[in-house]
Amino acid sequence: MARLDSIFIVYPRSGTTIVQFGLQDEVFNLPALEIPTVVYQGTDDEGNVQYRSSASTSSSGANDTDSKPLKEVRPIVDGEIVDLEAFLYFLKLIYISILADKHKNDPDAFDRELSNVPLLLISHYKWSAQQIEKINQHVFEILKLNSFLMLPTSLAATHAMAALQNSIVIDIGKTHTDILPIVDYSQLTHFSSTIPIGGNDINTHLKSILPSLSDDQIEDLKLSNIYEVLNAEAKKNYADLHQADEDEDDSAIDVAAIITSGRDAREILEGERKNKNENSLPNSELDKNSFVDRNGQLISVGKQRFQGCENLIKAISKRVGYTISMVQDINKQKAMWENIVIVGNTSLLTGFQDSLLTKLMDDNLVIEPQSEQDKRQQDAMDSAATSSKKKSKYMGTNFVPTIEYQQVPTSIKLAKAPEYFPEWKKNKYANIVFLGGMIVARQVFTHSKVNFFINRDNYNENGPASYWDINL
Amino acid sequence: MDNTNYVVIHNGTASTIAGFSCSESPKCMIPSSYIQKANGDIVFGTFEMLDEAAKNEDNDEVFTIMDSKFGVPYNWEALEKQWRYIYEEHLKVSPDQLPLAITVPSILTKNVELETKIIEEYCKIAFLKLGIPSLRVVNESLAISLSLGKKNSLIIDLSGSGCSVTPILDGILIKNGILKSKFGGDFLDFEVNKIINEKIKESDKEEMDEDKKSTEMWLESQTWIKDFKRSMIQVSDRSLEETERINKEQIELQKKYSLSTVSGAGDVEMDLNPLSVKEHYLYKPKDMTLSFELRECYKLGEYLFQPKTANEQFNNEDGIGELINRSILTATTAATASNNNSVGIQNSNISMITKTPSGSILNSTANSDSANNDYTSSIDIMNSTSISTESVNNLVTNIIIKGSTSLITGIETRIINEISMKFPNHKISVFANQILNDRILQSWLSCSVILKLSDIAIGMGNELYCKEDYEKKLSLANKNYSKST
Repeated sequence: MARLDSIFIVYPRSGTTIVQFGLQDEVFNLPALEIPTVVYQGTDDEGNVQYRSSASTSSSGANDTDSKPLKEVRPIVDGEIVDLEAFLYFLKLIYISILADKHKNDPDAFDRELSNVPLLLISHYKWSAQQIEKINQHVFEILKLNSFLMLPTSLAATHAMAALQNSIVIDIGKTHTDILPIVDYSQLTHFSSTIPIGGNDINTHLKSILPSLSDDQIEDLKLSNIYEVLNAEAKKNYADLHQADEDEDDSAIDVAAIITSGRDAREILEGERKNKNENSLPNSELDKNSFVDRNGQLISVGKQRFQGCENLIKAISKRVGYTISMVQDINKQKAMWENIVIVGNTSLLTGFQDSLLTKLMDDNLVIEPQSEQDKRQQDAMDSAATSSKKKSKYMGTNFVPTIEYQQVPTSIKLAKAPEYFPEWKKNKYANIVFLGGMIVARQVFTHSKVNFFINRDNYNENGPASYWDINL
Repeated sequence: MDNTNYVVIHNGTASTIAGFSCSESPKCMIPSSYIQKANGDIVFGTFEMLDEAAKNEDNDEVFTIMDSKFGVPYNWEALEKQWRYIYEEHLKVSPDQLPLAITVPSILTKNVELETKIIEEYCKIAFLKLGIPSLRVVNESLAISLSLGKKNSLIIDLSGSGCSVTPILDGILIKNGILKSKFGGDFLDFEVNKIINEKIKESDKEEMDEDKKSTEMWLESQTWIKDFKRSMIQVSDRSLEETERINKEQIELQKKYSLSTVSGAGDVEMDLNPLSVKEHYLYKPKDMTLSFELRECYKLGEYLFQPKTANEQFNNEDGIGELINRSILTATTAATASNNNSVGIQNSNISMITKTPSGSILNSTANSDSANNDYTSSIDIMNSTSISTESVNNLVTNIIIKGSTSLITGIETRIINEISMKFPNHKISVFANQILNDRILQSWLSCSVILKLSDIAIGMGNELYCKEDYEKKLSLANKNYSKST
């Protein structure tokens, strides 16, 4: 059994890696560290490949000369490990830095929290079986840890959502998006896939319609509060919010009302903020609005600020439809359609999740075509009018019963974000995957059930292949 | 317990599943087909193919890899490319690193000549083209039976290319009892397309484009036809005629009753028949609702049991119920004969997995005389020799239903009913994996499971071939062949 304050969690991604050492008793704090996933490669005097933590060569051994430039290596590209050696070095680097830091602050730390460090590594479905075994070996033989668990991104995400049984996780990265189906608490790796489009596509599009802005300014615009993804539904929602807020005392947010309203809390808070800041006209109704870029410059942008997500949303919707249709069990399909999880920073853009949801509905929802419904209604009214003798059950109403289909989906919903992590909620649930990692790490490592993770005994017995005996 | 990690590839007629035996779930499940583009490029992979087919490019064509009659590859060149794709894209391991296990359908063992040829071709690709160190050829049905700890079983595989029945007694495949029909999922695809076309003509007066490209047809089979089969087609618990007759009788009875009690409930009689209930289907390509009476949904399912109802030229002997019946009769009749023509292992080996209970038949073997599986000859055998009740019992208490077509609503109940009608004195028990996603993966999963058993327990029907042996054999056969490869 491990101490809470020695649990070590690493979530490596293409751009940055999130790290947390130690969990709190009562709450799950936001992760402490986010560092670029990068190492530097050089060669020693004998020509062997060596890795460094920084590009500068001055701090390294005396034999090194400044003449040899170090090569920047990104071990992970689009989720995949493309340079395993570099990745293993990166992992070691993080661990050693933590040890050094803890030891510096508290010389006795090795007797306490550093005496037994369990590691939870959040993994990507594309990591190969060989890579996984080598990582396992590295953790036990080089880092000399005694407890280890690899948790797929998809499962980390669903565990943060109170352990969803059936779900589909959409993980949007910068240049790729993973579509990860979950059935009965396990990831269906054989139907997991990646589409080669991500958040950067929005920048490309914005750049094409706002050529005067620099790449940095485009990024700043995208992350600013005036960038918004609009669709008919969202527009309506904003109008609703706007009205509701007028009736209320605007000094305080009524949490109970937010929860009972069933609406996305984030959206309401967003609405609140807008009302206060912008003379009660929401951003979505303004012709022009301005933001401040990283250099402090005020930039005004027209309606272009509502564009750029179309390609991405279209591609995701299509692949999600195909993926869920691969699942044989129609009841599981139904549950998956009602528990869609969208993660990654792009999903935090205002209105993005709603727009994607609307597109998913347009593309996939099994619903009677409007023209047919109108026709049925007309027919019902006609027959009611002509055959006055025969009583029609539709008489007096302009309503015909809806048609029921055997197919799915008849409803599409986002999985509900947990309400009980205030810190994370404030932060729009960015990095909810990491939250899931923390929850799982706490459950797994602090219990005596050892078969949920690999421990020293398993490893000594079965070696790197011990990974395969673990059943999440 | 054998800790060797194998790459396991199951090439089914419709889809190919691949992964590692050490892992509980496969790495990929992709179609056993590919798209050839006009420029010669080849597209493998589920989503890659779906995206490509949706582009609807003029000269794209879909090609298959597996033959539907025996469920073995016929397009070897494509198979090699597909395996390379699987190793590179999904397994991310070099083929020479791990031994490979593949599955072959049990129907193949009925044709020794073809079997030899197929294994030779597999060896050629594995050893000469990909440099795989060793190849284990696993009989699909034996693997399924053994992985469930059963030495006796009757495996009913309802797949895309048709339905097959394989009896296994004492861990031995009873060759003559292995039967296969061509009526399966693909046949239903065709019938679904037909009925939808008729419906659209009815309501739209507009004909669908009959002349479809192979990519369009493939895309349809993967999208709305699949959807239709899953949500609309049903199988009634007894034959459709009988269901109709019973319903009619009940309605008559009800009418009599209601006439004697309430007067003037005349014009609602059609609504009383449950088979006339309307089911709605949203046909996405045209975004229109098509309505079917329940009897139409049942009728499609009935085709699998009575193919003649689909087309006069088809034979009801190829229906699932009859197929099972003939298989049981042939297998159990043959089981009393002494001539040994079976594939499998001697029961001393199989007892590694399940202990032979005292009193079971120890020398169950198949009859070599009736090599063709014409049902008349099997009935001749039935008439001339006695049927082993115990063998029948061993089969019908261990029925395993698998395959994607087995997911159609009601099919399991119907199979049980069909068997109990033919063998009224036997208790029947059926095993069908209720985790439907696993049922689709069953062949792959079973193969992975038995690879963990010791060599002896894996069974004789599951042969191991080594690269060295193969090369030795080749160099003996052909002196010009140089060992340097």
